[in-house]
Amino acid sequence: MIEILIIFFKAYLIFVIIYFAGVNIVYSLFLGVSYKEILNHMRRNTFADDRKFVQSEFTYPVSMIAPAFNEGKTVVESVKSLLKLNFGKYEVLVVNDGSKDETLETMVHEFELLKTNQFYDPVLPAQPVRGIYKSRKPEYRNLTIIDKENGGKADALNVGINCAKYDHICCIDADSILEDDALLKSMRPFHEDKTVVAVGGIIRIANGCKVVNGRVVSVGLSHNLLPIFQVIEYLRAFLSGRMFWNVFQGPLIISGAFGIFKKSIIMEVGGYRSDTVGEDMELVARIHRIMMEKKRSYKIIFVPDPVCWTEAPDSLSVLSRQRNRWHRGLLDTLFIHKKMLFNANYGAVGIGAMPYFLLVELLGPVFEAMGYLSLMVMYCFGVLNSNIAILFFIVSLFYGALFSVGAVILEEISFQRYPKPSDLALLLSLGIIENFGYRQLTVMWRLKGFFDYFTGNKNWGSMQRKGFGK
Amino acid sequence: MKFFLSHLSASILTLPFSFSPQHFGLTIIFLFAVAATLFVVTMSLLLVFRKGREVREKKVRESLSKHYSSFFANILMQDIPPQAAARSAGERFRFYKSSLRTVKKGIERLPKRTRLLHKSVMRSVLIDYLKDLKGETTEKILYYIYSLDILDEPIFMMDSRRWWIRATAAKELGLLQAKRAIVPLTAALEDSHPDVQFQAMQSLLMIVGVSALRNILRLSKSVSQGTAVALSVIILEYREEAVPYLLESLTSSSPSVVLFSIALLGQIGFVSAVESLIQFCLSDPEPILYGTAVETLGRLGDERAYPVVIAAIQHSHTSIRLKALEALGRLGEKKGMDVVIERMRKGDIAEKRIAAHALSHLSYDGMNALYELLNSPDTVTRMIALEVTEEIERGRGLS
Repeated sequence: MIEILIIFFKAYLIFVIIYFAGVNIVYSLFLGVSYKEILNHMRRNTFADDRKFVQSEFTYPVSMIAPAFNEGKTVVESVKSLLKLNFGKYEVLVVNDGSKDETLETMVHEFELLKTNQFYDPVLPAQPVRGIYKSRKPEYRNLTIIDKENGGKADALNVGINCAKYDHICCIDADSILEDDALLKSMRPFHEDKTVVAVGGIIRIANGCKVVNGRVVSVGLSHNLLPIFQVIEYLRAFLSGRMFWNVFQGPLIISGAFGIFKKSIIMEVGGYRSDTVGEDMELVARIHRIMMEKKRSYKIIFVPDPVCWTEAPDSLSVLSRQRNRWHRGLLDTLFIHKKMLFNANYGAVGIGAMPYFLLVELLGPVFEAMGYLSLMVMYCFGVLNSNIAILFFIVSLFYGALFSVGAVILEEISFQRYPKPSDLALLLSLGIIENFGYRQLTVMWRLKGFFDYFTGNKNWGSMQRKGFGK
Repeated sequence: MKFFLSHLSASILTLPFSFSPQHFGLTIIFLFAVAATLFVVTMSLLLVFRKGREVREKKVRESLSKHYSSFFANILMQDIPPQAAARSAGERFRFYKSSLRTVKKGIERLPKRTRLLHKSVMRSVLIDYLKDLKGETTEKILYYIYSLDILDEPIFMMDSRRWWIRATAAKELGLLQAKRAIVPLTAALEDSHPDVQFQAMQSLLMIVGVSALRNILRLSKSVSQGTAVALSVIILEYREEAVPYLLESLTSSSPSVVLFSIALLGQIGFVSAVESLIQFCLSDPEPILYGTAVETLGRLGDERAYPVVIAAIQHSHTSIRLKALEALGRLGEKKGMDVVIERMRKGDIAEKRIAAHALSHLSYDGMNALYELLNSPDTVTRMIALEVTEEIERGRGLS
C-alpha cells in the first residue's frame, strides 16, 4: 500500500514538473507578447490628441454607473471625482444598493438631492427601485442617484443600466477613483473600431498614494507590505496577463472596478447575473460566448493606461475573503460556461483563455498544494531526493521572481507611475520576497474558496474601507 | 546553510549530466532556467546599453538644440536691408541665403550620420518657431527649411515600413508646411494605418488649407469615429468655407464619409446646406444616413425642412423617427405638433421621451399639450409627461 502511495506521489511530482514547465512557457509568452503590445500602445499614444475628444461632438457620450453598498465613508469623494472627469458628454448614476449605513443620507445632504418622478423601465430584471434623485445644484446636473432594495452588485448595475441614457456604459466601483483622462483613453477603442463591444482599464492600488479632493495627486507605496504585494500582483495580472489576451479576441475578464460596455450588447446578453460572485468575469465570458454563437464580429479590449485607483485590503482577514470570493467567482464562471472549454467553436477563448483559467488560475493552487504535500510525504518515507527537491525549489522561486520582476520592469519601461527609485527598488525586491509566505497564503485562501464553493457558501465577503488617504 | 549549499552545488553540478528518466524533466527545467537567466541578463544589458545611448544622444540633441535655437533666433531677428526689402522676392531670398552661409558650410563637412542628427535638430527648432511666429518671419523660416534640405529626410521616412515612422514624418511635414510633400501626403491618405492616414489629413489641411478637404474626403475609404472626432475639430475652424466640400462628398460611395459630412454640416450650421440635404433625404438613403440628415436639418433650423422632418416622424424605421422628433423640437414651431402628440401616445418609451421633449420646445401650445398628457389614460405616457415636465421645471429652477 505504502509502495503504491510512493509511486503515486513520484508520478505526481513528474506531472508537477511538466505542468511547471508548461505554465512558465505560457508566462514567458505573456511577458513577450505584452511587451510588444504595450510598446505599440505607447507609440499610438504619441499621436493621440485627447483634447479633440473633449471638444468634438462626435465623441460618444457615456453613462457611468457606480453601485454603492455601505460606502458612506468614501462615496462623496468618489462621486465628486467622477463628476470632474475630463470628458465631453457623460452622466453619473450612483446606485445605492440598500445600504445599511449613511450612504444615501450623505449624498442627499452633500449634493442637495431631490426625489424625482423619473420613469423607470426595468428592462433588465432587478430588485425594486425606491426612488430616483437629482440634484438641486446646477453643477451636479449630470448626477442621478438611484435608491433601490438590496440585491447585490450585479443587481445594482442592472438597475443603473436600465436608467442609463447613453449607448456606452461605464461600470465602476463607487469606492474607486478614476484618473481625469481615464474615460477618454478607454473610450478611444470604441471610436476606432465599430466592432469593439467592451473595454477594460487597469486597476491600480491607491494605498500609500496621496489623495486630495477625490484625485490621486502623488503616487507612492503603502507602509504596509500587504498592499505592496498586491501592487505586484495587479501589475502581473494587468500588464502581463490581460495585455496578452488582447491579441486573441480579448481578455476573459474585465474588472468590475472599471469597464466600459456597449449598452446594446449588455441588453442583448441579458445584463449582469445576480446569482454569481464573479459577475464581472461571467458577463465577459457570456459576451464572448453569445457573440461567437451568433458568429458576430466583435472585439473586447484591455487598455493599459486608463487608470482606476482602488483601495486594496490591508489586513489578512479582508484579503483572504476577497481572494476566496474571486476564486469562487472564477469557478462559477468556468462552470456556467463549461461548454466553451477546449471547444474550438469558441476560437481562442475556447481553446486558449478558458483552458488557461481552468488549468493555471483555478487549479494552480490545487496542484501547488498537492506538490507541497507530496514533498512532505516523500520526505517522511525517506524517498525524497533532496538534491532534486532543492533545485526544483530554487528554480520555481527563480521563475516566480522572474515574472513578478518582469511585470514591474514592464511598468517601468512604459508608464512609470512610481517616480521614486526607492519605490521601484521595493517593488523589485518584494517581487522576489512574495514567494516566501505571501504566495503560499494566497494558495491557501484560494483553496478555501474551492471548499466554500462546494459547500454552498455564496457570501460576497465584506470589505472594510478606511477611506482614501487614511 | 552548509548542508543546503552542498546539496545545491551537488544538484547543479550533477543534474545536467544525469540522463535517468527520473531526472530528465528536471534537467530540461534546469537548462530552461539557465537559458532564461542568460536571456534576461542579455536583455537587461541591452536595455541598459540602449538607455545609455539614448541619454548620450539626448544630451547631444539638447546642446545642439540650444545652439541652433540661438542661431536661428539671431538670423530671424536680423532686419532685411531696406533696398532688399523693397525689391523682388529674389533679393530677399539672396539676403536669407547669406545668413545661412556659415551653417550650410558647417554641416556639409560633417559625416553623414552626424549631419542627419544636425538636420533633425534644426527641423525641430524650426517647427517650434513656425508654431509661434507669424507674418514675414514665416517666409524666412520656410526659406531656411528649403535651403537647408531638411525636408528630404521626412519625405524619405514616408516610405518606411514602420507605421510610427510614417506617421511622425507626416506630422512633421505638416508642421513644416512642406508644399513639396503634398504628393506623398496625399498618397498617405490611403495608408493602411489609421494614425498615418490621420496625420496626413491634418498635414494636408495645414499646407493646402480647406481645399485639401476635397481629396481627403474623396480618397478616404472610410472615416472611423475616431478620425471623425479629431478631423471635425480641425474642419470646424474653417466654418462655412468647408461647406462646399462637405456637400460634394454627399455623393461619395463610402457611407461613413457621407455620414461624417452630414453630421459636420449640422455642427457648422450654415443654411446653404439645407436644399442639398432635403434632396438627399428625398433620395431614400440608408436609415442611419437618413436619420442623421434629418437631425442636421433640425440643427440648421430652416423652415424649408418642415415637410421632410414631418414625413420622417412617420417613417417605419424607429431610429429615423427618433431623430426626426428631435429635429422637430429644434425647429421649434408648432407645425407638426399633431404628429408629435401621436408619437407620444403610440410610440415606445424612448420615442415618448423624445416626443415629450420635442413638445416642450414647440412654443406654449406644445407645453400645454404636454401638460394635457399628464391626464392621459395610458400610464407610461402619463409618467413620461410627468418626468419631462418636472425636468423642465427643475431646469428652470436651476437656471
